[in-house]
Order: sequence, then structure tokens, then C-alpha cells
Amino acid sequence: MSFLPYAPFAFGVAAAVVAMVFDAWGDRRSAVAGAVALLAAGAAAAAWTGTVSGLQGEAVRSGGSMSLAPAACLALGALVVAGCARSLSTDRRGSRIVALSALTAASSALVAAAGDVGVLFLAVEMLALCGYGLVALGGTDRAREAAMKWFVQGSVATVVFVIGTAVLMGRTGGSLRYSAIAALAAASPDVPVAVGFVLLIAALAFKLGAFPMHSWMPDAYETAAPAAAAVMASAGKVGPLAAAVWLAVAVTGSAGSRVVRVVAAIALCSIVFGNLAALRQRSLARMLAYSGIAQVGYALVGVPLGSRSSSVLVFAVLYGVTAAASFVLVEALHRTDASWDGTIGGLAGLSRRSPALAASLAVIMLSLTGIPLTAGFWGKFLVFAYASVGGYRWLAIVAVLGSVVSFGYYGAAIRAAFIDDEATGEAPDEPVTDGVRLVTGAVVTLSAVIVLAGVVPLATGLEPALRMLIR
Amino acid sequence: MTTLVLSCAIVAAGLYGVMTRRDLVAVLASVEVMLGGASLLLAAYAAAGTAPAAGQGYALLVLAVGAAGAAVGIALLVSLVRRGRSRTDQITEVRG
Repeated sequence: MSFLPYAPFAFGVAAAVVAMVFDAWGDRRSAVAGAVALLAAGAAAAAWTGTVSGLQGEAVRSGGSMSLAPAACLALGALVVAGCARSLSTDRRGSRIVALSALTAASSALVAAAGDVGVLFLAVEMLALCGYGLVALGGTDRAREAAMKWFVQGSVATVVFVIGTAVLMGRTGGSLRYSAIAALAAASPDVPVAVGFVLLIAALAFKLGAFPMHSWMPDAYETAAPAAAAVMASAGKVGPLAAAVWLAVAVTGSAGSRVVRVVAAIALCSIVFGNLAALRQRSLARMLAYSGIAQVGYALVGVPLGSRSSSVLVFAVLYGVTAAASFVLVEALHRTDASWDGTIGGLAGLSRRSPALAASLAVIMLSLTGIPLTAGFWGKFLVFAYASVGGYRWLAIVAVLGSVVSFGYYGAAIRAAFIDDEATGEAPDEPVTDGVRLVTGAVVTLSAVIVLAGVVPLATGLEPALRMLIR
Repeated sequence: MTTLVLSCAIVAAGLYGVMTRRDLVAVLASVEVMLGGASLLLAAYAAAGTAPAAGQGYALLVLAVGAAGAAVGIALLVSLVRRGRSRTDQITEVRG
């Protein structure tokens, strides 16, 4: 057995251990630096295993497009921790947030790469437990409350996952390897198999925060530290989406048609509910959380498309970058203006106070809407285009309409930053510290990546860009 | 068949407890009851299958993960109880 397929996850776990060890010595800067270095090494290792053929672990899959999602999870974890490095290395809880963020990235990568439902269960639970801890580390009473509520709901999702696993195991006779389960789905397209798959997808939908399993998400993202929310919203979403894609590809035949109908219904409800609820939000973090429900809905539009569903992976990675940027932006806004109350209205006058942050905000919001020349456009374009030629034109139309509605709230943030005047005169000038420069630089860099990813396919054509992502 | 009915009954009893109990300790206990019922289902299906050892291994894995989850849950509970909030009707600040 080769150790190499497992190396990326080992790097991720090592990042968490290193962060805790340095924290015990009281050296929080080294904790952040060590975790970033090891997470980046893990991402590089995952990308490298994608280029090597013939590497196949016992319980994890690697090679080709299989390595895209794990590499993205670990890289997003490294990016977020590096971007929020200053606040994480000064806060008393910072190193614990770094450790749990690294474990979140590693377990999400393992969720994406798992080749066995037992491993998938272990990884999904690790992801969930890290999430509860990350929210509780927000430090306020509201954060603890949100974590407790999420924990109780998440435990019910765990039970659903175990029951789904038991049903599938009852049909395979003991094996939980993906290959055995895919063979089972092809051979016996009966109701229990469909029920097993639907239960697994329901448990994953809970982790993704899809409607109607979404109620933990706004509380968690609002009360957690922005760095923690950034990791949960980016790295923490890519892995479960990749696993959902695998489940939908594996289940074929008449059981498959039942399962994909459920996925399509979840996608539809998530898009409608997420967009309508986001329109009513005043808090920027809550708005991003509700819009995240809609974004998960857009991603799930591509899941029922069989072999074309790898477009979901592209969407997930591009959305992951944008979501990470959006929550690092929230962190930057808090640091540049300590009196900001977290509302969208409170962004008024941002373009005068901090032009760089205002421009980044515009890029991020346009990308989340899916406007051309940004990364978000290509993700939505691929998923919706494949959906409309793959027999889901109605779902693609709903998704496009949802995107149009979404400009109502994404555009409101841009309007507040650029057009609205401050209600209470000039805000007191905060001194521009190194920490502010670092986090502003991180937001601007991520926004530049979003624009580059939006523009490069125009110059090179879509195919070379896709070949880079999916080999 | 008997174990199937029994485990479904245990899961249902746990779910009822999660939804109706007001004391957070009782809610956490109900969660563990649910997980126990689901593990029983897994073990029963495994025992009836062609590879019972693998299946029972998974059942043990579920128990270990459940224990880890309970540790996190109790840590959260302690942090809430220290602030005098031990009932579900006392944790109503966040709206969902």
C-alpha cells in the first residue's frame, strides 16, 4: 500500500497539530505560519497526486479531476489563514481557530476524496465537529448558542447518515466501497437502494446548508469569527459538493431517476428560499450566509447531470474562492473600522474611506451574482449550460432567474459602498496599521484572482482553462 | 426483522426526546439514544450480510465517532451552563 494518496490529508492534520503545539509554547505567529506552510504543502501534494497515474489508495481516490477538490480545499484553508494572519496571531483564541480551520480544510478534502462510505462518514463527522468548535470560538453567548443549536441538528443529520449507510450495507452484504455501491446501484435498481442514497444525500445537504436543512448556517456564519466563517463557507463546502457529485454519478437506473429528482427538488427550493431570504437581511454576514444557501442550490443544479456533473466541481472551486474572499472582506471591514456594526447600511461611504476594499467588494459581489469578467460567471455558465442541454432546462431557467434576483441584495452592498452617504458625518480615521494592510492586501489579491479567472478564459478559450482544472 | 423494528423504535424515541425535552442534558442524551438505535441497525444489517466482520467494524466506528461528538456536545453544554443557560427556552437569542 502506498502512503502517497494519503499525504495531502496528513499535511492538513499536521498543520492543526503544529498550530496547537506552537500555541502551547505561546508563539501564535509561528502557529499561523506553520499551519499556512503545511496546508499549502498539502494542497501542492494533492495537486501533484492528480498528475500521477496509477496512484490509488485503499480508501481514498486520487488522480485527474478527483484531486481538484481536495487541492482546492487545502489551498482555500491556507489562503484564509494567511489572509487573516494578523488577527489570528493577536487574538487569544487565534491558534485554536487556526487549528480547527486546518482540520476543516483537511476533512473537507477527505470528504471529496473518500472512496468508501465509512471514510466519508468519518470525514463528514470530523468536518462537522470542527465546525461546532469554530462557531463556539466566536466567544460570545450568541456564538455558543448557535454552536449548540447546530450541534443538536447536526447530530440528527449524523443519525440520518448512519441509517443510509446501514441500508446500503444491507444490500451490498457488508462492503461500503464506492465501487461495490455503484455496482449495487447498477444491478438492483430497487427502492431500498434509492432510499439509502437519498438518506446519504440528505445528510450531505445538511452539511451544505441546502434548504430545508439550512437553519444553522446564518447563525453560525454571523456569530463565528470572520476567518472561521471564511473557512467553513469555502473549503467546508467544496468537499461535500464533490461527494454529492459522486453519489449522483454512482446511482444509475431507475433508483437513479428517483435520487436525481430529490436532488433537483432540493436545488430548486434552495435557490428560491436562499434568494428570497437574503433580500431581507441587513447584516452583511447573514446576507452572505443566506445567499450561500442559494449558491449551494446553483451547484446542486449540476449534480443530476451524470458525467457532465464535473462542471459542479468547477463551480464549487470558483465559488469557494469568492466565498473565502467575501468573509476575509468582512474581517478587513471590521479591522479598518472598529465601529462598523456589521450591517450593509453601515458600508456607506466605504469608497471614500477605503477605495481598495470598496473595489474588492464590488468585484466579489459581481462574481457572486455571476456577472461576466468574474470567476463566478464561468461557474454558473458551465453548470447552467450543461443543465439546459442535459434535460434540466426548467431548473436552469429558475437558477438564472434566481441569479437576477440575487443582484437585488449583492447590488445593495455595492450601492451602499459607492453611492450612499454616511448618515453620521465622517467616521473617525482609524490609524492604518500593518494588520489592516495585510488583510486588505489579502482581499485585494483574492479579488484580483477572481477577475483573472474571469478574464483568462476569454483570452485562451474555455477549453484550455477547463483542461487545466479537469484532466 | 425484530432488530429492524427495535432500532427504528429506538431512533424514533430519541427523535421524540430531541424535539420535546426542554433540558439541554436530556436533549444530548436523546441524541445519543438516536445514534445508538442507528448503530444497532448497522450492526444488524452487517450480521445478516456476507461480510459481517467489516460491517461490525463500521458499527464500532460509528460508536467511536458518537463518543467524540458527545465530548464536543458536553463541552458546548458546559460553556452554556456556566452562563446559567441549561434549557432550550433559554437559548433563543439567535434566530435561525
